[in-house]
Amino acid sequence: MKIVLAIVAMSVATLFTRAFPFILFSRREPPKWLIKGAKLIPGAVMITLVITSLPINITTTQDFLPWIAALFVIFLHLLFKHPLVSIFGGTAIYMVMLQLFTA
Amino acid sequence: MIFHRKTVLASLKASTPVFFGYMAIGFAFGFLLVKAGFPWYLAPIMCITIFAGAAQFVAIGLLNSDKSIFEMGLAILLINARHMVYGISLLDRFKSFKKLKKYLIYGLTDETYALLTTLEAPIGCKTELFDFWITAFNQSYWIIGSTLGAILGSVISFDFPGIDFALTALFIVLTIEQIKAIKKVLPFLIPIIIVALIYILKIDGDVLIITIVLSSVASLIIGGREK
Repeated sequence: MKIVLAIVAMSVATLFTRAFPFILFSRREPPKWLIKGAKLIPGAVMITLVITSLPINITTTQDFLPWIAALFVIFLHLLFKHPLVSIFGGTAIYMVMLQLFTA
Repeated sequence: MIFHRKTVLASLKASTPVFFGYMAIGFAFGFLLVKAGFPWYLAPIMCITIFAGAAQFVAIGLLNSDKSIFEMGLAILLINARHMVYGISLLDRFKSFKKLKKYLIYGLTDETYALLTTLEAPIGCKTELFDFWITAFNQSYWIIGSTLGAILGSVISFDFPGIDFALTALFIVLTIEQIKAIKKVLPFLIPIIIVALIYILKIDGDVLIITIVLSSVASLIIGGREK
């Protein structure tokens, strides 16, 4: 029984975080500065998700691999401008490097 | 109507990077859940009720602990606190949405947020429906990956080391697209500086949450002041 209640509590907590801004502005219009300022948030969030998913304390050779693959994704994207080519090209290179450097 | 062919196909294509990431990470989640002593069907249940990546991994530990229901809810609330700012940048896009809006808010994971804030619906497709299918495809990958991991995790190993890099690569591509669209350096530089400071000053706490909250505030200040 406790597990059911726990899952309900965790679901409500997650839903609350996602619904929060929509609840806040369900009855009134969000101010103009907020809408304008919010246009800059996705970029900031995206780059944060990138840096935090890469190893920051680099100690082994393997810690370098995601960074090399990341540079490769940037290179592919600037060259071909095709999202799926960059994403799968970079992932493939990373997977190959992992095989080569994990012996 | 809801199965508008062009919209479904465009969303399917846009969500393919998430397919690989969610299948791999979901599989690991399902496997760990069963390994921690829970029945396999809890995997799809959690992917439908909680539906959050990092939080569900933490939930495995919480469910096995003697923490109170309140503490468990609070822990998940803090882990997902970053989502509280996500919706701000979608208020405008979701404004005219009707029936599917509630589902879109419920399903707003990091990956879905990243896609919805960067992509426009193709010409001839309704944005609400395009966003719905992206969210629905992403959730289905998560449910399928987790369930497979829970059922098959102990039998076979779905081991393609590094395949989850697809999500990092997705975020990199979307960052580049955001830089092109915004044409400003500061909103991208601030998070890097904050992360660097957290590491240099050895500040305790969740790097992701601290950085997203602080740089969102900075973004609102920079962007809100513009004429």
